[in-house]
Amino acid sequence: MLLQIHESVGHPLELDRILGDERNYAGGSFVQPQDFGQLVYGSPLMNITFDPTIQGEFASYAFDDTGAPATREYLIKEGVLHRGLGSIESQERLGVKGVACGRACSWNRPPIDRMANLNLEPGTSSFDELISTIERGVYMESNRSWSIDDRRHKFQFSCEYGRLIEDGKLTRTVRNPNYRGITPQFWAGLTGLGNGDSWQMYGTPTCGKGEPNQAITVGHGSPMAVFDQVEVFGGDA
Amino acid sequence: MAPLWQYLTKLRCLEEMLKMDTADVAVMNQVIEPPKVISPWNQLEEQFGQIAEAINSACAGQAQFTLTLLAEDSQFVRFNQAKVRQTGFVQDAVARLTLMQADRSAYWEFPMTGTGLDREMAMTALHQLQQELPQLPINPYLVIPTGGAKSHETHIGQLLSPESVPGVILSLVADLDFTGIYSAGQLLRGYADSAGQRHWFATDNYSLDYSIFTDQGQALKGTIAGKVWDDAQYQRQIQAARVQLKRLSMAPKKLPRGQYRTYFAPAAVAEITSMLSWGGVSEASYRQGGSCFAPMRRGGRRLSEKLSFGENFAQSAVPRFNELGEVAPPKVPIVTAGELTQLLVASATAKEYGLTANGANGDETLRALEIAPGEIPTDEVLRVLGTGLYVANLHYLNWSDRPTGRITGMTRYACFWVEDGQIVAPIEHLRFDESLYRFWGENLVGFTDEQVLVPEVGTYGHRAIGGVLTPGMIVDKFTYTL
Repeated sequence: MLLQIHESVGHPLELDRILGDERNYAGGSFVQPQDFGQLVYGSPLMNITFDPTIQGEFASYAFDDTGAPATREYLIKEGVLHRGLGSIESQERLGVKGVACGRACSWNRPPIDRMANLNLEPGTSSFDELISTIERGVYMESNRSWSIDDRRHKFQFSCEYGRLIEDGKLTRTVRNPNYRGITPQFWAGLTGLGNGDSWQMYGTPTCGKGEPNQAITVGHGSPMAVFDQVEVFGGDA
Repeated sequence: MAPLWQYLTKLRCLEEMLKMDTADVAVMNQVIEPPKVISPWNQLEEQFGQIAEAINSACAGQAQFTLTLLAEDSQFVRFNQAKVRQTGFVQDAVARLTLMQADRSAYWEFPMTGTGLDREMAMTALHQLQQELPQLPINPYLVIPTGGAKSHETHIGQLLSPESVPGVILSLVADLDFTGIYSAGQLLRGYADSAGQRHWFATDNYSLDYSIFTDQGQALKGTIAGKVWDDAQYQRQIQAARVQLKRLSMAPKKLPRGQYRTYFAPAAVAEITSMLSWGGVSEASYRQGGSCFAPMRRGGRRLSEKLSFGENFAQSAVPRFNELGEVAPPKVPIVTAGELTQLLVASATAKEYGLTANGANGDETLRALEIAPGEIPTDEVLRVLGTGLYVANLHYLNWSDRPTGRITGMTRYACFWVEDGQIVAPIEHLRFDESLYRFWGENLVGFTDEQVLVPEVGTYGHRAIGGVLTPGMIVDKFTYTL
């Protein structure tokens, strides 16, 4: 889920992408300024928080590189888009609410809009309860390949490990499980979320963006998640 | 000692440098260059040599070392909507001292300014490494520098004056939705070691990497780069872009997923070749089971005889020396007429697997890739394509199944549907997922007869050097999946 959250939720909500700053490199966004407050981004189970105040996650801080105090904010609440990933400068330019996310990777680059800790909040189901609801599906672990278009719409990810789910039970191992989809449709298919026991903290130190280029650390936490109607395929095809 | 950062010029952001009319985006009327805090390159070179001698004396033959220097004096100007968005200057010089003794090694980085302070920092680094080295585990494949290579290469350019950049660039595109970045200045790479090898590479260069958008969100991409600013070329590119923008303003065609005959422009081919440095041409990667070329090395697979590529250090201004001071041959063929000639072998890989190194860098990545031209007349690509897709650029490539050479990614920028050799309409962008054993194998129609140098414009950490010299190519039955 780390890269699924990162690529299909984090980047498209960056206000500088919506403002067009990134169009020559990282890309734009399918999200429009008027979408904040009304766009149904995913199913009602979907709650995404921006939270640099969590202790020990990859991108935890008390204030961003513009001096704005860090606070925990819902970007998406019960599936509806509420707030963007934009610093005080981007908030002023675009006229929408943002967060304390103006960050620079080093002394020789300017602060730009960045994810910090961007997390999918847990649900209430146990791992076994979620698996038991699936008649036929694929359980995937550990992303190893990621690709998405420049407006963060059409994506394809692959994982290192997968197992078939048959009649509510994990069964055979599958080789090189891949899946692809379109962002809003994919998140609309979120039908189950694990509870706090399945919530795990991950992140990456190499989120690339900006001109001149910047690589920065971001954190992503997520529970186990179940999605319906996902196009899955395998190895050499 | 004062903090090191005091000796470096920090990036000066737009807010500090410019008098702005608005809080968001302003047209820059004035660029204020920061004072130079790094000495001129000749003084830096002299200081670098003196430090190498001092370290050599201090080691007294008891330890070996390499000393590298990476420096830049750069101007960056970022554009959005044909206005300056951000700008700044970066002066930076970072030395890396790697100490080797008794099959152990460690490195220490410190900034250089070309002043007497550098020697003090170098000696501090050496002392720290001498303390730490005995604590580290043995590396049985450690390679000690042993050669006697020396080189000195300087490329003098003619760049735009910093204050003229916004005016020169924006004057041609003020009525367009123009976005991108201009990066320019001096770049430097230095090398010295305990064996007495010495290298120095300095070049002036610039790149303007831009996109221009239509009101409908379609866009085209352009890049101009070199050592001498070419105003006439820039004007030609913008004139051509205006013609292309009219085509892009047509209603886009939505294509169903499937297989299409496709022309890939040189920039798109260069994107595909970027995958070769990531689990492709590395001998170590092959030995560890991570190379897409394993089916060729093990026999049984070959690519089209129309495909030949390899390193050609004559194609652009890029250093031939690596982290051990070794100088690569002028040309390193990798695939010749569809057969795998060799992979890139670094000295450490050679030592570990009993091979002969071929001048590769430690990561065994491509530094000066050239793809050989073919026989398709460049000005007849649409006729030869017939009916299919014209793909100008690709975006965000990744392996979807590396052992079988399968790559996924997106079409990007000016991509068109072509019928009977005529452009019909721009397309809604497509995801592809295809194996190089098909598109460079039985489905390769051919390459164009002219090559284009697609410059490396990356700026992670510092401005990159080099590029890919490649023709365009036509492929049959290329697979699009979403």
